[in-house]
Amino acid sequence: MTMTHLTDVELVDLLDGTLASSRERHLDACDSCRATAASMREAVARVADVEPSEPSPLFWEHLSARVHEGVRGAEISEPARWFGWAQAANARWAIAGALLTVLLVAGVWRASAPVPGNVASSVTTASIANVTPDVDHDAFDPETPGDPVDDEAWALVRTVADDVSWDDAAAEGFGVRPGSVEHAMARLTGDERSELLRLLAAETKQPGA
Amino acid sequence: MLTRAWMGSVSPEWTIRVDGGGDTAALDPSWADADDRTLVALCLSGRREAFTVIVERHRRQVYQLCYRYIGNHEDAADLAQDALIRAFKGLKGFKGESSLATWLYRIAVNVCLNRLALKTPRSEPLEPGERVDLGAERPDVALLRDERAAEVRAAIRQLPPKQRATLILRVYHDLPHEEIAGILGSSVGAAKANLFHALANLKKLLR
Repeated sequence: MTMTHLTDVELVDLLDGTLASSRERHLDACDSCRATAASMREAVARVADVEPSEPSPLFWEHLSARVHEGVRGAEISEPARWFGWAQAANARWAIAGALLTVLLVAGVWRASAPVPGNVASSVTTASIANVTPDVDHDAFDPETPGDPVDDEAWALVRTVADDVSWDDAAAEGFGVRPGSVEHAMARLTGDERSELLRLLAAETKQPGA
Repeated sequence: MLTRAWMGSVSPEWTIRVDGGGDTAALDPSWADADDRTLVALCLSGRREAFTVIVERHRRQVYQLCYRYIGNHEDAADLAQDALIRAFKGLKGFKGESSLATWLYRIAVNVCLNRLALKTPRSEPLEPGERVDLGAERPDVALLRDERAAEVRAAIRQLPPKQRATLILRVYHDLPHEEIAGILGSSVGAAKANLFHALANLKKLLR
């Protein structure tokens, strides 16, 4: 019988009833894992017990009417090919210039900026000190200081990217490791993000962009 | 011009006016039984009124996802509307690799995440008129249940964004971890870990 405690993922599997029986037997000998599993089941039961909000029947009619108004006259657009315009030769030069500018600006800032002390102490922390942040094994931690989720530049990028499927992006030749972009964004300083936002805004105002 | 067809449930005899241009198209009675992929294909082939059926079919789940995520009716209604309009405009992006419901959830979650990034949603007091009528429930029992529900909703709203989305999609919408991972752009392991931490955080918040 193994004494290795169940991992987070295994505890979720236990909740789902998909944990391997060999690992499930660990519970027989481990008060700690048993207590954690019971605690999780209790939390799920409490959450599941909350009735869904049920607006009046009129609300659904109103919502449908609002959606209808919203789509009236709207076109079903082609899947966003927001890199398509970038294939023009002059656009490529513009992009290369913009990226070079960003890199130069970032390099100058990094070279001239004083070495930071305790960065974490100078930024706003999460509203609930005890809450464990999101887990993302592939990418950035969205609840860390300087959270891109709360970042205006990142919000703009995400809004633009909303309509782009991974398939379309891949078809355009973009294939990045999951989380790479978030990681890169997370490493930018506030000033660098502001500059990136300014450059993105300037690029989107270009004729034909 | 808006006519009654968009104001109520799908009904064979109802008609809708498309694009305000005077072209009136009837809803085919068979669409009520058509699967989602067929309806999407109809929309893409120019029968855009088939989107009415899609909205009728999925509006409740989309709204409830937004409500649970954002925590107030007014914002949830705006977000559900936004998500459904985005879905219509982006129908060509639906490849059929997931169910239409999952695809709509993905759009709704993105809309909610964007809203969170841009503004803090209002909190909403209990609205007894909007609660489900559970019949002959004693008033004190109903009050206690409402209070406990409000506590849980408030605790969910305090979870980090991805944990919140993961919990809602798993517990309320019963999505498998693989689909949740697809919606949030993470691995299955990360989705499960987020669920674990969401539940652990809830326990702390609900003490």
